[in-house]
Amino acid sequence: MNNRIKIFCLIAALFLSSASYAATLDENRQAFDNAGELYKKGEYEKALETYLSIEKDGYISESLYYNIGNSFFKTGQYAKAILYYERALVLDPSDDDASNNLDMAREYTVDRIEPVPEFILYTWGRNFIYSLSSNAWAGISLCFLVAAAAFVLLYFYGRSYGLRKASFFVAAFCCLFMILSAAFSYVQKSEYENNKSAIIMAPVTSVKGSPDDSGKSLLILHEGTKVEVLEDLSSWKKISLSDGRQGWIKGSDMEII
Amino acid sequence: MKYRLVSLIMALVLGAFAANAQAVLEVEAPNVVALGEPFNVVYTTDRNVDDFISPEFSSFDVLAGPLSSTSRSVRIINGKRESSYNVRYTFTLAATEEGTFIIPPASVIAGKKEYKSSPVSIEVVKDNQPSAAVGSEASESDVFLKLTLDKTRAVKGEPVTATLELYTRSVISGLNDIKFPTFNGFWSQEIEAPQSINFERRNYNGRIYDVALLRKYMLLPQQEGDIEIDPAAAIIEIQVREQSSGNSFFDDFFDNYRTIRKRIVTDRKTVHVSALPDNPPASFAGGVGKFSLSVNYDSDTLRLHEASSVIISVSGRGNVNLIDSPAIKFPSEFEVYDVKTEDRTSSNSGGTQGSKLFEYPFIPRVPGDYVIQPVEFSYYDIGERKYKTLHSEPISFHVEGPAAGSVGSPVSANAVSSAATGKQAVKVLGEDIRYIHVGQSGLGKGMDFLIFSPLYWIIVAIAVAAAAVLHFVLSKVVKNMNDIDRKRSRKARKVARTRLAKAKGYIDQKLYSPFYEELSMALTGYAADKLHIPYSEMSKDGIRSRLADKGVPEETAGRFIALLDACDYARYAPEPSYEDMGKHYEEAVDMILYLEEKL
Repeated sequence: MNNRIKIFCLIAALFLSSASYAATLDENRQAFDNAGELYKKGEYEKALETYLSIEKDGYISESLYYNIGNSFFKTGQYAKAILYYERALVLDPSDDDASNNLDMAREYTVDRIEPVPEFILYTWGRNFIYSLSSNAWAGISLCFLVAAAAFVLLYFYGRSYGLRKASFFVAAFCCLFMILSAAFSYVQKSEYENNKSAIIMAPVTSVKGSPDDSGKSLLILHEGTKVEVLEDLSSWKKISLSDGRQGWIKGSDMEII
Repeated sequence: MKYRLVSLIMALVLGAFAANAQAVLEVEAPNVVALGEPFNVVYTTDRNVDDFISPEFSSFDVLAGPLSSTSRSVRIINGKRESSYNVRYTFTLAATEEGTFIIPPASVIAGKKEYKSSPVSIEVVKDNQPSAAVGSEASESDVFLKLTLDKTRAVKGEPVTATLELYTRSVISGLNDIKFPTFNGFWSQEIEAPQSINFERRNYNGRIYDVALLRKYMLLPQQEGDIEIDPAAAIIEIQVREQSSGNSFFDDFFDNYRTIRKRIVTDRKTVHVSALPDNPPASFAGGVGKFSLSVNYDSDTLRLHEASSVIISVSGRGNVNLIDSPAIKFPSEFEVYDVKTEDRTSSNSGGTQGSKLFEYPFIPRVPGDYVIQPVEFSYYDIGERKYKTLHSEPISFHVEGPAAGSVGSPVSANAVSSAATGKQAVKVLGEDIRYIHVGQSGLGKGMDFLIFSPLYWIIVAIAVAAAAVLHFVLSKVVKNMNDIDRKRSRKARKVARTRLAKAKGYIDQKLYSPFYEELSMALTGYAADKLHIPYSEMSKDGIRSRLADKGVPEETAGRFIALLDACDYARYAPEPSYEDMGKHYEEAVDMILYLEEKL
């Protein structure tokens, strides 16, 4: 009897919590629409506040980050705008709007860093992988799996010799594409999980040669510059610029994407 | 020739006098004199004087005069003869008491008319002789530079006049290394920069100085706050009379002068520049002063693709030369070019005066009627201490185009080419970030990756399992179908054997037609069962190709078909031939035995 009541309570609690979850989700969707209206009226500060409150509630989406980036841009906080555009691009690397606005926001940053030129095939490969989102690639791999299974069956039970021969090769290609698209999807996932990029938030910060204040200053960076975080050491982070130079920066001067 | 030489000599001797035709009787007198100091008052006229009436010098002692002198000059330049004639009446006076006194006008009678001079005001100061300083050093107060500002408080852009003057009571023999002030924080312009130094007597703090204007500037403050003006400096050479040692008579007679060099510097001056009031109108273009606005244009009827322009003229007093061009909102159908600016200003104390012209050239590209909104021009009025906005009238243009029919319809080749040349690149008016995403918010907690997630593996497992099940089912079906075929082929021998046995019976009974019927059915039935041919597809060609597929030699298949042909022939033959029946039977049995072995 006692156990039954316990189970009942547990079920009730689960139900209630899911209901409240749904309620806040609806509220935040409403807030998202309201913020869009504020943005339309040109009240960027208020729109920004609303968007940030949604983010504070723990809800995220590519559109939310993109809109926050736009609001920061309109209020002149370009470093923050860059941060949120980058976050939007992490969620959906194929978002053309976000990358366009990111380029415009970067016009306002001080530092001009010449990135080390990449091998062209590598760039093409990356662009191809990021032309679709990770989940899209995963879905494609599942489609290829189904197709491969179908063609294997056709190979076994095909009526004519030619049909069976063709379906063997098609099945083989489907298997190959399935593995490739799964790999693309996984590459994106692992890059997302191991993403260690950051945007400099302090107006001016110096890159030190060693992780302490007395270290020799190597470079001066300004807000809005993207760096890659390589190592953590207490409050200091070892960073690398896109042109390959490395140094140590205080963690408080930047924000991880 | 002789006459010319004489006139040239006269011109050289007397040419220093330039006739002044403005007033008939002019007077020259110093502004300031010291008590008891002798000074000259000179009346000059260029008329033939019949009589000169002296004024009353009531507060002065007349030491000498009137002394009249006449000068005449003739100049011939490029064959053109100019002559001038002057009469001067000179009085030497000395003041007897301090104060400011007015010498009443003198008059001359010339050609039965009386001409009066203007009255002269003379200030008399109790001062020691303003002559060359006696002593080894000239004191600070004897020679100095002075920079005067007409105001020390101004708003940004308000004109300030600065005057740099040299004050001296000593005889100056040279002025070197003049360092003029650099007006940092101001836009500065020299209003007056005399080539030579002209001294003028002036009372300054009760003492008489010779004052010379060095430079006059107009300053427009460009930044807010207290702006300090760098001091001006110069090296001055002063002649100082030495105390004679008094041994010789000649030493007393010839004064002994010594030149000393001295550096003189102006005081530091500060101008307090206050900012213009907040929230200037949108059309504020930096103008401070008092201005008026006028808008001109050539014609209100324009022709398509023909250049025209609107000219805005801002005139007034203030920093006219520093005004930015006011904005005109042209319709986008007009191609607008850079504004041409023309400065028609002159600077003097109190700011520049004049007008600044802004020409806005444009070319209308689309016919129609257009109205250009009134041009706004805002400035800061110094007198009223507030912003003022001027508006022009709205400008309306009518752009005449070609006849309506010929624009859009490419009737002739000419029209086609004009339509083609009318194309132009898309105009970029500005850049902005792309708009926010609206609609689907896609909000969720955290980022979910499908790849290698449990859901992914479940889908993979389902797909593989479905394939496996399908495989199992299909294999069952295929096996079933194979069983049917095998049964049929197993049965084929039996069926063929019974048919052949029946046919054998017909041989014995000499039944010709049924025998061949039975033989034909035994052969085709056997082939159909053995080769899995559906009855619907039964034909001789079908049998032949199936036999070929099964690897039966062409020759054997030919014999099989030939036997079938023979059977068909015999079945419908009018004349039965009983002797072949046994042979055909043997052949059929051989064929079935052979196929049985082969398949």
